Amino acid sequence: MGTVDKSFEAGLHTEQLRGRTQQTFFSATEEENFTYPYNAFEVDRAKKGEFDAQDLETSEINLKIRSLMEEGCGHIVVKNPRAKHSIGVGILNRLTLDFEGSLGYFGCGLIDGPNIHISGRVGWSFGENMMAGTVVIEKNAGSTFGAAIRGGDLVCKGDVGSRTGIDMKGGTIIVGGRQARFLDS
Amino acid sequence: MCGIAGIIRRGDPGNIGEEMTSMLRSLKHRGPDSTGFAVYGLPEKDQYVMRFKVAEQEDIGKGFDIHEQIKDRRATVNSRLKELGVEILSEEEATDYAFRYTLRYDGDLRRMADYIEDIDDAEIMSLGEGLELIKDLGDADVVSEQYGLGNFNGSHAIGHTRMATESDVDIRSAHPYWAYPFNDVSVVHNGQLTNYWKWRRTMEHRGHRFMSHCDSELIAVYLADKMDNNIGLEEAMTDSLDELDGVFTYVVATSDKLGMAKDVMAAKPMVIYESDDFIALASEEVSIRKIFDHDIDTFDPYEGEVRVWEL
Repeated sequence: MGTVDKSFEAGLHTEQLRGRTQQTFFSATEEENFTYPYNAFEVDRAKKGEFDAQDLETSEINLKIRSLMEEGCGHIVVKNPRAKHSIGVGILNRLTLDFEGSLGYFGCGLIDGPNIHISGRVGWSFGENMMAGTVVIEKNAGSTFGAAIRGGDLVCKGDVGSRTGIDMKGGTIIVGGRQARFLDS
Repeated sequence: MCGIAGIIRRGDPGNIGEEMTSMLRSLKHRGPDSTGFAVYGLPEKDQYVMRFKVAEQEDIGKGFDIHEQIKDRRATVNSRLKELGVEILSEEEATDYAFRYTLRYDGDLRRMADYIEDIDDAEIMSLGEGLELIKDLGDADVVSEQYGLGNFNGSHAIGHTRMATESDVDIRSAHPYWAYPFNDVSVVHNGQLTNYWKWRRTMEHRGHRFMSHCDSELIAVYLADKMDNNIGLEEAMTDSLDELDGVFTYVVATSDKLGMAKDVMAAKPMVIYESDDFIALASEEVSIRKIFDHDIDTFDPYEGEVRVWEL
């Protein structure tokens, strides 16, 4: 028996590579590619929920988004985020999320799936480690925009800061305005 | 990690004490060790404001006979000022150990500063026509209330909340730093300088004085040295990007200018809001938004960027 046959017998070739966003292991027939494997919420995009974040703390805002998703809201509008840090992080769900205002540092990190629109500006390290989804930012972004993203589309209509897309493994970053010098060269 | 902030009100002086307090309050999470303000009031003709301390806050708690010593030291300050022919117009006690004097003097400022700082534990925080530099342990609310900053009218200000990484938690290591002996120049800094000792030795050879082991003091001394050689603020700040090593973002204020510089690695944050009559800059956008009700546009400066605004 040849070495190759032995390896088949030992079951070393049964592993299936899978992944929805990063590379080409995409197969339209696989159910898994169209469902969210995590503990995702069943949401209806036509059902809209909104709240004012003016007097809420960061964790209260994030929990509020989560509880609206639990109620089945597929379209959430957050008013007056007022540049607070770490808002909209860890959303592993299909969701339309609108921020009416600006976000601070580390906004919308670790997301997988949502379609986000931000009418203001974002601080540094926005969308860090994003896996999938789309984000459109109307104004400027800070440094390390889209750090370590692995998939999805990140669009900033204004200027971005230094080190945009540092450690980026996949996905797309589109910038409408100016960018830091090292991207010029 | 420290928090820094600056504001300019062009042509419309206002309550910068209150505004800077609320900006620094929202930066408290970047450093709760000490808080400092450099506020620029409306200067009166032929008159200097001197802020100085004669003891550290911790001395008050444990120093033997400290209250008597403070009295002695203050009396020595007064007698030395008289000796130099300085006219003391007013004396205020901000705390037990920190004082605010207004003076009239037309002699050599460096000589006067040296003579005062020769007294045990005496340190001049600031000396200038408009500048008043206030720094102490505690957060923005504590310091602002202690020194009555809630109602301070002026044209521009810079501020700092400190998380001590390189030196002790005491007043002498707190920011802002006065660029001794140049009146009305102050500096706040967020970062670490890695060639501190090299530059400190060079500066000491040239006769500059260091009061602390805080690396940020070097920036103030460095800029003072440049100004000594008649180099303009913007040029001096541009030089500092090449000559100082490490990661840093700093803000400098003079009687009629405010500037910021960001190192070539851009590892320390800064967010700027700019309009015709109001400029605000801070380590985080939350801080700027504290003083605006309406929506504003802000941006980040790039690596190796120097910006100077005139009043």
